[in-house]
Amino acid sequence: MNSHEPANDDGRQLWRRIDGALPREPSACVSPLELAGFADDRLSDQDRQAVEGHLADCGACREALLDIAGADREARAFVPPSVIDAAKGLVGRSRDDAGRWILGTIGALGAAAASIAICFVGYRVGSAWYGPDEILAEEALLSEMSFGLLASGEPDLDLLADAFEEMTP
Amino acid sequence: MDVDLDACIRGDKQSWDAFVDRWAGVIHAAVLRAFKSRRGFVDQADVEDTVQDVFVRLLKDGCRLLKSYDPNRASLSTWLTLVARSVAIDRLRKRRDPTVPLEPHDPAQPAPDRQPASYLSVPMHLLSARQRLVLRLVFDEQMSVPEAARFIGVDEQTIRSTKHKALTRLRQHFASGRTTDSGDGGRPGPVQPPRARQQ
Repeated sequence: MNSHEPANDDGRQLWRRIDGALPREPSACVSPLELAGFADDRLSDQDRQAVEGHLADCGACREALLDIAGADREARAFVPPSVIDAAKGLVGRSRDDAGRWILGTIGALGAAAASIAICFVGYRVGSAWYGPDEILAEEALLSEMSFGLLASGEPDLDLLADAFEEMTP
Repeated sequence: MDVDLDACIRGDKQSWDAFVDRWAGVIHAAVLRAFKSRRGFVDQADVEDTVQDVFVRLLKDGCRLLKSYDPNRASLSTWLTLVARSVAIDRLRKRRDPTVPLEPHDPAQPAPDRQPASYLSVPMHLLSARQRLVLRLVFDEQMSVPEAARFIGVDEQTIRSTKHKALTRLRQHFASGRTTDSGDGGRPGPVQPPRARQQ
């Protein structure tokens, strides 16, 4: 990195002797945007001068600039797909995805509503065909059967078969 | 390929995916470089976690960091490189890997280099900021003149003349005897370690 010139030695020694005694002008570290602007040469003269003044006394910011001076700032290095996927997953659905999601949800809700409607219509049709009188007779018969089973302690299979035959239209 | 940053900030998924595809390589390279230069080795899982951390920070608090980027002031690649580097160093600092000294330290031995010359008096504005910067780049950072010129963004002749003027000022200052100590006529003689001076 350095071309070692003998002529530099005198200056270097002088610098080494006084460096620790040089007063520093403390200033707050510059933002990444200002440092980036300095590196890209996009700052105004005034801003550039301010950053330069800070760099003269701040080793950390100097180091940051030295680091990125050697970096490939247009790197297209291989990045593991898992990293890409995880980063993409940080932001939710796109408009297209959201549209698809809404359509899917509407479809599912529609199907559920249709199922309920079919069940309801089926129930109504069944009720009309198998009227209230039949239902009352069936309930009375089942009640009698239950009473009989409870009283005897054992099921009367003939009684049950008759009951089911009667219930069948 | 240009990425619509405003759309990213609004939370548009397609724009964000394009941003990730475009800039993940730059961020990955910057993190890798920061880890290598400070640790000497690279833990791939650590690098990947840090890259993810960079993306998280860009989006955090309603994309506060991403909103702070101004395309008129710096290129996105340089800005993202600095942000990624900063996140990587922050992570290394928090982790604080245990270190072991390579050689046992003998407290009887004076430090070999760069004792602060606290007994020398150097006025605040003896050197301008640019003069100090140039001397630091050339002598501390071991830069050549062309490298220092590229770093500051000036021509090589400016670096040479700035350096020359700075050294001339320093020599004149010390030759005139304007120091607080020393008994050597004001010349900046060899700096003694504090222990030696107490004896």
